[in-house]
Amino acid sequence: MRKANLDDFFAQARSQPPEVSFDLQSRILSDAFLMQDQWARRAAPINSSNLWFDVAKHFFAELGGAMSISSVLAAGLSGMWIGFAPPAALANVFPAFLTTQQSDIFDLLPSDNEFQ
Amino acid sequence: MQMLLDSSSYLDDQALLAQFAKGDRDAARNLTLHFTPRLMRYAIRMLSDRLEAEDVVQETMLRLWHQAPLWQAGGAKIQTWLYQVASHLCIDRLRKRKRGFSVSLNDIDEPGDEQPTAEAGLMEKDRQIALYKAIDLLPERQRQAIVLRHIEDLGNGEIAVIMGIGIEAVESLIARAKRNLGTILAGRQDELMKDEGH
Repeated sequence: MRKANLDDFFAQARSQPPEVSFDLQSRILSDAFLMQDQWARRAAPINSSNLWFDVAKHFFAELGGAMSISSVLAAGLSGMWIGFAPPAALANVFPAFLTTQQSDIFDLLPSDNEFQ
Repeated sequence: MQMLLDSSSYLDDQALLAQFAKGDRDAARNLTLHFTPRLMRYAIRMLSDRLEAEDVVQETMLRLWHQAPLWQAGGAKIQTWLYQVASHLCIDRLRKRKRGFSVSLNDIDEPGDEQPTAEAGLMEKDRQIALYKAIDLLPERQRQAIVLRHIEDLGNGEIAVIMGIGIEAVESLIARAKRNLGTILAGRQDELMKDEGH
């Protein structure tokens, strides 16, 4: 194939940029706006009169908000409850894990006196 | 084509990105309008799959949005950086799949109204499909180099940065790609020239 022909092919390909779908543009812009909103939230000024309240608010927001905090609290309280008053079904399970069993003591660096 | 934005005026890319980082919605729209069509054309030619190309373009732009507040003014050219990211994403995808021939008529845009006749439009479409199929047969790096040079119309220096190689290596890749394309297309030349002479 001659070089000129190949160049014609390329020129033709360049002249017709692909159609970018409305859906793709929307998705890209949605990502962009979401990011700008996140930056705006992080950059929101802290009011000095309610300093501790604002710091706590930002802290909780970073942790994931009320839903996240309540989940962590619920899990923690459940753990405490199971620890203090284990259900009967678990009563036979825990001792097996928790009781210390007698085990043999191995000397990892045995003395070589016995061979002398 | 439905457009979300007005393409009438572009500010400098870097200034736009700085405005975007400050929360300017219009800057996001202008950057999207400016870069998305070129990235889309590149990704389609690399992957031969419109849906995969769209995913690559979205991911590339997402990385730009993440990078915006950290962008050093006067540093890397945004366009070069975007092609670099898109290239990595395309090559990752190419390596993950074993690909057959997937160029279809749906991947080729319809000829515009300026086409002289329907017959000529079909002929041009045939030529485009032949070229794209031939490009699809090239080795990965040759394909990348030829698309960046002759379809995206970038300079060899910029291509070298995007591909992470020297300019001589780019020239060599392009020369080999053109030779291979010539060989592949030569098989179809009679058919295409017959159409052209019609």
